[in-house]
Amino acid sequence: MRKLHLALILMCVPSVSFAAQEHFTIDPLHTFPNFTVNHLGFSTMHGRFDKTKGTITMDKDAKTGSVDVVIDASSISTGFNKRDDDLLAPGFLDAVEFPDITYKSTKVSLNDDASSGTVKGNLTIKGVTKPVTLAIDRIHCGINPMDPKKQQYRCGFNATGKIMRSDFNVKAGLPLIGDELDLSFEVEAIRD
Amino acid sequence: MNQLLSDPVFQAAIAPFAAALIAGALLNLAGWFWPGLSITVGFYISTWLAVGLDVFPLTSTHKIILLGVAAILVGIALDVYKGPRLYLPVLLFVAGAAAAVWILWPVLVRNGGLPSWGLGAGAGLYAGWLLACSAGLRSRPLPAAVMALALALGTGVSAVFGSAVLLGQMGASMAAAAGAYILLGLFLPRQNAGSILVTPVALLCALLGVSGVVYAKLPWPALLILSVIPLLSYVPLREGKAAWIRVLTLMLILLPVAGVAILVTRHITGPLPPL
Repeated sequence: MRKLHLALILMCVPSVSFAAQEHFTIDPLHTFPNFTVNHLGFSTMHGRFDKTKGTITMDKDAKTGSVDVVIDASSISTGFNKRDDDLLAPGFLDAVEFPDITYKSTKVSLNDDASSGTVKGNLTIKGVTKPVTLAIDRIHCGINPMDPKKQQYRCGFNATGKIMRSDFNVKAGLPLIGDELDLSFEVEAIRD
Repeated sequence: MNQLLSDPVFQAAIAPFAAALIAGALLNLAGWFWPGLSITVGFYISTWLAVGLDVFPLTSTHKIILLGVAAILVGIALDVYKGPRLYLPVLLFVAGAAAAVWILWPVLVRNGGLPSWGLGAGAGLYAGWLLACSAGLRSRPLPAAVMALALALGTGVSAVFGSAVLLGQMGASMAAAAGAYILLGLFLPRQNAGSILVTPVALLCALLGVSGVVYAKLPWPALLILSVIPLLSYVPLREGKAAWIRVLTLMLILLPVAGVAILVTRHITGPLPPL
């Protein structure tokens, strides 16, 4: 009888863990990867990508999760079409040949109250993959107040990081146009 | 110093011009067809300053860098070769077409369909034509040099307007180096340009052009205009004619550059893409 109880308890363990893991799909209308770069030493230029898709999992009990994001390189927007065209060409993003920028987490660590954390993962730009760590400054989850049925559960994440574009073979204009890019992600994801 | 080396004008014009001038003078001492190499020396110096000379990962730009070296080796082989040359243009056409298709291969495979393969065929046709048509200029140093200047300048200008600054810079560097080759030719007359000059220049310009169309916003009719340049380079320069007639004949080769500049600026309205 004790063995049977033990077996039942053991069978429940994975399902408990599974239940704690939440799956989210990124809301592309409220998710924008942003970047800033030094322009000729004078100012800091801002740009963003308008099309992002992907999935997030979060296990608040285990303080972990995963991130899998695909950014459409051709959706870059810096507020000036001619410059965007140039950034899409070989030398910069080479977006026709490499249409996707991807980020896949290898380790996600959430703090005790799951309101912030760190994501370690691999960023791939122009076919070059390098490890990049993102700091999640804020995680906020709850029912979407704009949802008429008050059922849609979503989470918002603000994350930041830094990369050197030359690491990813994005070398045109160096060093006049800065090598270091500050990244910031505003992400909203809807629970599946 | 670092600021100077990273200046786009220095990278695209001054450095390749100076490098080609020095290389041309030194290679002239070596004799044979070696001075013809000075144009590609200018190109590689400029490319090295702009983005480095890495060939991996094999992006389209890295493939162009790699194929330029291959074209130099082919040019040397063609200059060494003493046998019949009847089928050489055909072989060069096939090689040029294959090189263009290799550059575009990832996009052709991904997009598939008739328009995509049509684009690949057009690119192959353009590269093959430039390579095959320019092959005969190896024995005509001045027209070959002016062809290199016109083709590289036309490719560079149209690529810059076509939102491909890097490709434009690479094209412009060859034009600057061709200018140095022509300048040096005024003091050190040559008998032949050699395939060492025409083969890599024609291939590099062709690949920069098709990359500009597929990977940036260069309108394809620009390539149609540029494809006339090697043909115009065959207009005979008669020794007995007055100097101004000979200069005008050479200027004819540069005419498509003006045509392509007008086409691209009319196609792409608005200011130049900023750095």
